[in-house]
Amino acid sequence: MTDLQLQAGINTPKVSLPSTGNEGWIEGNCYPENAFAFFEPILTWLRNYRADGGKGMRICVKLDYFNTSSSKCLLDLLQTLQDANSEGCAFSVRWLYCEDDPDMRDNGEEFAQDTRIPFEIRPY
Amino acid sequence: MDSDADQAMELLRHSGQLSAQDAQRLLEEARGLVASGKISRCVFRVFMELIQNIRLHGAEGSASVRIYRETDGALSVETVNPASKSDAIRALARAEEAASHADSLAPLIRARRFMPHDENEAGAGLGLLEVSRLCSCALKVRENAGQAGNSELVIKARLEHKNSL
Repeated sequence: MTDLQLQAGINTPKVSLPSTGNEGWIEGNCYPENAFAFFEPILTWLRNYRADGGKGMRICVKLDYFNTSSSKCLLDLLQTLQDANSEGCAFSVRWLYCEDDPDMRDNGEEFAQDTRIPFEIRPY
Repeated sequence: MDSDADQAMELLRHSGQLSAQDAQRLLEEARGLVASGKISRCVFRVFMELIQNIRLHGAEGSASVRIYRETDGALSVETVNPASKSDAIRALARAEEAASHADSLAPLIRARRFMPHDENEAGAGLGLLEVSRLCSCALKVRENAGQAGNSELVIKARLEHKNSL
């Protein structure tokens, strides 16, 4: 099992998920034209991590913008974490939003309500 | 284009083919407008969804997009692009759906996120609903007869001052 490292693109975030560490990051902008194609390797990595006996980690999500397709993919990602937690993993999410961006805070609150994962929402 | 736009102050404009590179450049320019305080993040989000709507659902041909300030101070994002008849009808239906759920768009969008993704679609089918939510349903979609059997799809989202800057 190797770490997942995706460099940030102009419209895609930097993704850093360690195979053995306790904190991962998804950071930047997230509005690829095909969000499903972008997220697929992340979801695959998470499923493999779980199958490989990974214990879970805190995933920090710090996004400036995301499009509606990515919002669906983020929900898919959170549901994947939720499934892993139901099988003994300990994933949690720290949702970081710019303090002058209430929409991004609201998005975090919606995701927190729509999933059953330890969820922390913090301004930066 | 809406004739009102001719009277107003344009902040960003593009006419012609909308390639992936064009879309990227326009989004970079729009982010620059946010950084300089000329438009809000909300306007950027509307613009982003409408640009990607053209990229995902538009037909070949020249498109026109603009962000402009209207004479009353509101900001509008307007796109005009060729679209297949079926895509135009789908956009009109989505706008009608948004209008009929004006008081419950946020829960509707949240519920739709849970629906399985249609693998034949690159998008999630949420863009126009989100645009309608962001502009408090001040969204107009109309279809004109286009060329080569296509439609001309005109979408205008108007953001009141509190949401625009």
